[in-house]
This record gives sequence, structure tokens and C-alpha cells, in this order.
Amino acid sequence: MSTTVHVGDLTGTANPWQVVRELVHRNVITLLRSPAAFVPSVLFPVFQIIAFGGAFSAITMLPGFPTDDILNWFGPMAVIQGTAVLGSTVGMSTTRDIENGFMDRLLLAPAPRWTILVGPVAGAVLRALVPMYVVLTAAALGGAKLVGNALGALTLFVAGTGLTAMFGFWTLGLAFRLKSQRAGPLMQMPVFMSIFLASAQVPLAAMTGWLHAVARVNPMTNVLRLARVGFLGEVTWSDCWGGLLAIAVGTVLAGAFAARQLRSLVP
Amino acid sequence: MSAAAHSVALSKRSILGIFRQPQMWVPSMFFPLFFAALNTAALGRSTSLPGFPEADSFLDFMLAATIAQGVLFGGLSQASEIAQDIENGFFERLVAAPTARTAILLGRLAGSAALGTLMAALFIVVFTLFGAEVKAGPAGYAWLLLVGMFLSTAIGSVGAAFALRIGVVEAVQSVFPVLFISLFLSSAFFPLTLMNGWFKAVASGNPLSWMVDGMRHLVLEGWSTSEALAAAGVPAVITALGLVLSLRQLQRRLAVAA
Repeated sequence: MSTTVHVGDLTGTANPWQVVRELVHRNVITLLRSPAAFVPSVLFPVFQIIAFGGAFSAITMLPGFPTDDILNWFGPMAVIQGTAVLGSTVGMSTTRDIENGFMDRLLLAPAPRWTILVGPVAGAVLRALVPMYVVLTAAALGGAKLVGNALGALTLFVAGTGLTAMFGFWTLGLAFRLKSQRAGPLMQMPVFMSIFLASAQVPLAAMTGWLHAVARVNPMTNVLRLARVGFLGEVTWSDCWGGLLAIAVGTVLAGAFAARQLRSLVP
Repeated sequence: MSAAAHSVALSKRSILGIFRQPQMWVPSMFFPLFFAALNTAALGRSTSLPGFPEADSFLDFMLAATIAQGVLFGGLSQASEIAQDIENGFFERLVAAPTARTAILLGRLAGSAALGTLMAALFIVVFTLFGAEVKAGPAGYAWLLLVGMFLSTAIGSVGAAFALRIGVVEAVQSVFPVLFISLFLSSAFFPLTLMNGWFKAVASGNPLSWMVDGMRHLVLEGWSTSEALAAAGVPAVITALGLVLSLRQLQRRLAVAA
């Protein structure tokens, strides 16, 4: 990395916000240098909109299905899947940094440790705007639309960026613990499992058996409700608070896990 | 030794490799089974939608799709083995030895055929344990195994052409997105009768739909010779094309090696 972080004062400690800014900058630059990294977070959700939207369009006829346009159901789901997958890339790029020695240099730098956590995650949140924009545009072209008030766009934004932050911290913790790029599948698998074991495909009322039992207690069901609320009707507090709580608690817990693993990384 | 004996020896090597390295193909069974369990629970009520084929359960409906999905993805692992043989020099040693040239290819394809049959059998066993039933009876079960075998051989032969042309494992793996997209743009996961618009047009013209619908007919409705032939015919045609392509690539590689 050619970025230089200037020491902020005579105590030898860098301005932490400047460190965060530089790490965000590095994270965003990675995007420009390797756009292929966006394939799982952009192309896959766009394909999912096409495939699921096309194949499963008739499931809106199921009793109790809350919309008659399947893309109002799958569009927001694909958006948050893209942002969640993007969050998981934080951990994968960190394992690369650990393996190539960049993390050692970062740990030796005169900067507070928390900047090592916040910088990459903040960068990922910024990068999450790309899948949000592209996937949402694809869904809108297919017919998805906000049927409630404009707050629906905000709830989708909060759900999407919140998941980026949550999975970013979670995979950072895994990266600090496992220190190997081989941990990649372990980082991405929970993203897919948590989303598909929630109300990703159909509403709770349409599910049967074990999936209903799992999805009912899976916090991701609340996050999906938060993401979709503006596409299914008016935004109401009762549809939002569960998702907001799930993201807040999940992000705090994942952040604490990452901080704990970072501490154990440094002797 | 005759060419046939060489083929048998190399086939044995491929088939033994399947049992010695389950990590090469067992993971490719997880995703189709997870997807089947998920769809059965999520979309189970859709069997009551008007236009949905007569099915006892969504699990029955998913059996054909799961075999197709698992064997398609698992079959690639065998094709990758040819590229690996090229990468690690085993192919060169085979060429240097007085080995029948076609046996190099046929040996690997025998491995593909065995793997496809094995995976289809395992999927059928798992589905049967959860209550699925093939209405066509023993002939239907046998035909599903046959389709699994043909399908894996088809992927193996096309993948072999890639492997022989480019010679690196990654090139063979690059076929994966094409298979993935082709499968999802078919009637594998939902019936054609409940699709509409351009997606229905694409899925209707997708040969994988013809294959899966043929298999599905045996599962849901019973034996039909025309449906059985459609199910086996698609992978058989792909196998024939793949064989032509891979033999041409084999000749090309041998000419370069000479």
C-alpha cells in the first residue's frame, strides 16, 4: 500500500479518524483494482432476481402472499443478500492481509486498535452502495417498485448497510481467529444459510414444517421484513423495529467478537 | 495389451479415485440436498396451485431436479481430473507409454459414468428415506440411475474437451457458471405451466427442461417411454457431441506433444 498516514502529535499516535479514512480509501481502491470481487455481491443477486423472479412468479398466488409482483418480494431480498455477501469479503481480504504481512505492519503502526476494525468495515459499507444501486436498478427494471412512502427506500438502505457492517465484523473476527484464506467458505456460508433459513422465498404463513419453525425464530426474518416493508405497503414501526433491533444487536455482538479476536491476535 | 484392456485399466483407476477421494464430489451433494429441503418446506403449498403437476408432495417434484443439479456439478470434478493429470504430468507419462490414446479419455469418462450413477443412487436413497416415491416403479428407478450416468458422462466429455484444450483445472471449473445458469433457467425448480413471459420461453427451449421434465414424469406419473427417452436423450446427445469435441482436442494435444 502506498498510502502514508501522518503522525498526528508528538505522543506518536496517529489521528485515528485519519487512519480510518485511509483504510476506507484502501478498501474502496481495492474495488477499482479488482472489480471481479463484485461478482458474488452484484452479479449473483442480479441473476437471482432473473431466475427466482422468472421461475417462481406464480407463488404470489399462494394464499396470504403480500404482493402480486414477485420482484417486490425477491428484489429487496437480493439487495440485502448482495450487501451481506459484500460484508463477508471484509474477512477474506483481511486474511489476505494477514498472510501477506500487511496486518503485521498495521499492528505496528501508532494507531488505536479499533481503527483496524472500523476502517475496513466502513469501507465495505461504502462499497455496499454499488450492489444496492445495481441490484435495485435490476429489480426496478423488472417491475419492483416502492408502493409505500419513500421511507421504504431508507429501511432497505438501513437493512442493507446494517448487514454489511454485521457480517463485516463477524468475518473480521473469523479472519483474526483463523488467519487463513481457507476460511473463506466459513465466512460466506452463514450469509446464505441465515438468509435462506428465513423468509427469503415465501412469507412465514406459506411455509411448512421445519423451515417455519426455524424462520420464525431467525432474526434475519425481521431484517428481511425491514428491507421489504416499503415494497409491500406503508412503512410502519411494527414492521421495522424487529429488524432494527436484530441489526443493532447483531452488529454489536459481531463487533465485540472481532475486537476480542483482534486482542488475541496481538501477544 | 489391447486398447480395450487399457481402457479397463484406466477406468478402474478413475473409479477407484472416486472412492478414495470422496472429498472431490461429496460436497457437491450438500447444496442440492439443502436446496431440496429448503424448497420442499418453503414451496410445499404451491403443489395446490392451479396448473401444478399432480404430485403427492413437493419433495417428489424436487427429486429429478436434485439429481440433475447434483450430477451436473459433481460431474465436473471428474472432468477436472483430466486437467489435473495434465498439470501433474501423469498425462505426459501416459502418452510416453504405449497406451491406447482413446483409453486415456474413455478411462476418465468411465469414472464420470460411475460417479453419476453413484450420486443419483444416493439422492434416490435420501429422498426415499424422507418419503419420496417413483411412480414408475423399479423401471423408473433404474432409468433415473441411467440418466444420472448419461448426464455425468455428458458433463465429463464436455469438460474433458476443455481440459484437453486448455490443460488447467480452473478452465474446467469455469464451465460451472454456465451449468448453474442453464439449470436455473429451466423448469428444474418450478413447473413450466406456472411460468410466463420470456422466462417461460427460455425455459421451454432449454434442453435441461426436457430432461428434467422427462425424469419428473417417471417420478410423479409413472412410466412413459417417450418421456423416458426425452430424459435420457438430452444427456446422450450432449455426450456424443462432447465425445467428438474431446477426441478432437485429444488429437490436437497429442499432435502438439509429438
